[in-house]
Amino acid sequence: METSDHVLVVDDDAEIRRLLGDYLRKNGYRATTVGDGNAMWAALARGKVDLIVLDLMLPGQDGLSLCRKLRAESDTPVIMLTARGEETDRVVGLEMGADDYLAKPFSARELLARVKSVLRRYRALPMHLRADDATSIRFAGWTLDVRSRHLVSADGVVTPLSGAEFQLLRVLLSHPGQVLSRDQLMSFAKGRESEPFERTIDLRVSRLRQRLGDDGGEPRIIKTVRGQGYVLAAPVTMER
Amino acid sequence: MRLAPKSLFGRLVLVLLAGLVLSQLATLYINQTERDRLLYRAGGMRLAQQISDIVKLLDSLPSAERRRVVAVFNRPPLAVSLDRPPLDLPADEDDADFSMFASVLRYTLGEDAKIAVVERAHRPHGHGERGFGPRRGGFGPPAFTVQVPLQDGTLVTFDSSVLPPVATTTLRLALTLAVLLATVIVLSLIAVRWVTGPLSVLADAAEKLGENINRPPIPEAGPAEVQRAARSFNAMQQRLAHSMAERSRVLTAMSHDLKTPITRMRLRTDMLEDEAVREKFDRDLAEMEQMVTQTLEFMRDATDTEPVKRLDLMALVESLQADYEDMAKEVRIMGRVSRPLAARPVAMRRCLTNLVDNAIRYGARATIDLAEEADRVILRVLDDGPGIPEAQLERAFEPFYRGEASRSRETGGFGLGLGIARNIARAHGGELTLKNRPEGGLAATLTLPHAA
Repeated sequence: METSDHVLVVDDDAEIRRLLGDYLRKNGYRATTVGDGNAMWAALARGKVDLIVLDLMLPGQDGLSLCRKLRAESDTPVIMLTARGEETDRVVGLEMGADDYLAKPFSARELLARVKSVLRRYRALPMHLRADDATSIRFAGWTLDVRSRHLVSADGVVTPLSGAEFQLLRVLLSHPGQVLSRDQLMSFAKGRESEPFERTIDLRVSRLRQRLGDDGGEPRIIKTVRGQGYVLAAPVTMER
Repeated sequence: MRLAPKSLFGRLVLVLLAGLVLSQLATLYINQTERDRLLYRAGGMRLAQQISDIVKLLDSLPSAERRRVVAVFNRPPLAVSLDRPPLDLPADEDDADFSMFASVLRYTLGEDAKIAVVERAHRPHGHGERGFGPRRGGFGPPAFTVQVPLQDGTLVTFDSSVLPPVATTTLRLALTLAVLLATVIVLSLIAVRWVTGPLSVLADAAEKLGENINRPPIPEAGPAEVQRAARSFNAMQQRLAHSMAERSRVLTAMSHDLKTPITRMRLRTDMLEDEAVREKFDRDLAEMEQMVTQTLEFMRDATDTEPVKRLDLMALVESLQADYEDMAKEVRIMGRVSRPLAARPVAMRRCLTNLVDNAIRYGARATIDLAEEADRVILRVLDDGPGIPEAQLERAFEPFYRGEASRSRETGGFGLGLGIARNIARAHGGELTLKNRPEGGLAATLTLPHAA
C-alpha cells in the first residue's frame, strides 16, 4: 500500500463508525472515527487529515452546516454520507462544498472507491466543484439547472444530460477560460464500473457539444486546445 | 319508478310539468265553461239582431215581395218561414238566456211586439266545440224557434238549428300549452342549476380526490342539504388525508430507518472472507435496499410538486442511453421525436429509468422505440427476456409483485418500479401498459399526450 492517507469518519452510529474504520485500515488508510461535530473539530486540531467522510444527519450541528464551516477554513476533501438519497440532498451536499456523496445504504467497497477517486481528483486538480451555492449557471444562452441536473435552452426547453455529461459540464463551468487536460477531466469522471479512457472524455465532450448545438465545424462553447485539452470559451454567470 | 327520468333535472321537469298541466287543465275547463256562456250570449245577441232586421225588412215590403226575400234569407242555420201556425208559448220564461234573447228582440222590434220564443232542444252548455260547431249541409233539428207577427198580422217563424259558429280554439290551446312547457323547462333549468350547481361541485371534488387527496376543500355553499353534504365531504377528505399522511410517515420513517441497519450489514459483509457467502449476503441486501429506496420513491411521488416544463424527450432518452453505457449496459434507440413534451423532467427520467432497469434486468438489453403522433408520443421499452404470463400482466403493476419463479426469484421481482412508472405516466395524463411481444420479450408502452 503506497498510501497512508488519513481519513476522518464522522458518523453518529457507533457500529458504522467502527466498521468503516476497520475497513479503511484494512485497506491501508489511517482512520480516525468520531461521533459528532465537536469531536470532528478536535480531531482536525490534533493532526493532518487528508479526507473527511461526513454523515449528513448528526446530533447537534448537522453535516451540511459542518461542511459549510469546514469549507470556509480548509480545502480538505469531503465525502458526504446521506441517508435520504434524494437528488436534492445530494446536490445540496455538493453545493455546500462536498466533493462527493454516497447514499445510504452503501457498501464499504463503494466508499473505498469514492475515497480513492476523490483523493486522486484532489491531487490532479485541487479545486472543488464549489459553485458558491449556485442553483443555476448561465452561459452562451443556456442555463444549467444544478438541482435538477439538466440544461435549459434559451427558449425554455429542458434538455436532460447524462450523469457523466453533467459532471463534465460542471467542471468546465467551474473553470471558464481555463484549459483542462483530459487527465484532469478524467479525474472528475465517475464511471462506476469502468475507469474512463481518454477516448471516453472525447466522446463525452462531443455529446455535450451536440446537446449544446455546438457541434458544427468549429465549436464555439467548448473549444479543443490541440495537445492540451478542452476549454469553456463563454462568459459564465452563477445564480443562486 | 322505473320510468322516472334519471337526472334531477328530468325529474323536476316532470313534477313541475305534471302539476302545471293539471292545474292548467282545470283552469281551462272553468274558463271554457264561462266562455261558452259568453259566446252563447253574444251569439244570441247577434241572432236577435239578425231576426229583427229581417222582420223590419219584411214589414217594409209588400206581401207579394215577401216570399222572394224570405227565400233569400232562408239559409242555414236560420230557417225563415211565413206559413207556420202560431206557437204554443211555454209556461216558464225565466231562463236567463232566453229572457235576455227575447228582451233584445223586443228592444229592437218594439216593446209591444208579440214575440214567441220556444226552446226545442237542450241548449249546448259548456260542451266546448260540439254544440256550437256549424252543421254544414242542412238545417238539422231546430235548437229553438222564434215567431214574430208582422204589422199586417202575418206570422214570421224563425227556426235556428244552431247558435252561430265559434272560432276554433285548438290552435290557441296548443299555443298556451307550448308557452307553458317552455316556461316550465326554463324555470326547471334555473331551479336545477340553482340546486344542483353545488352538487356537481361536490361530485367533481369526489372524482378528483383520487388524483390529489390534498386538494383545497370545496366551498360549503348552496341549499342547506347540499351544504351539509359539502361539510361532511370536507371533513371526510381531511380525515382521509390525515390518515394517509400518517401511514406515509410511518412507512417513510420505517424505510428510512432501515437504511442504517442495512448499511451496517453491508459494511460487515464487506469484511467477510468467504467470497460465496458474501455474494449471497450482497444479493439479499441489494434486494432489501431496493425495497427501501423504492418505497421512499413511491411515497415521495404522492407529494411530488415538480413543475411541468417543456422537455426534450430525445435528449432525455439519449442521456439515459449514455448513463447505461457508462454502466456497461446496452440501450438501443429507435425512431425520433422532435417536439418538446410538456412534462416533469425529473419524474419522467425516473419513469423511463424504471422501465429500462426492468428491461435490462430481464433481458440482455433494452430497446427504446419512439414514435410521434399528432397529439401524443408513444414510447415503447422492449426487452428480449421471458415476458410475463398474459394473465399476470396487470398484476405486474402491483407493489412487490412476484411472477413465476423463473422471472423473479433471482432478480428480486418488480418491486415498485412499474407502479411508480405508471403513476408518473398517469400524472402526465398518459398511460403505461405491458404486453408480451410476439417475437418474445416484454413491451412496456408509455403513451404521453402533447399538452392540451
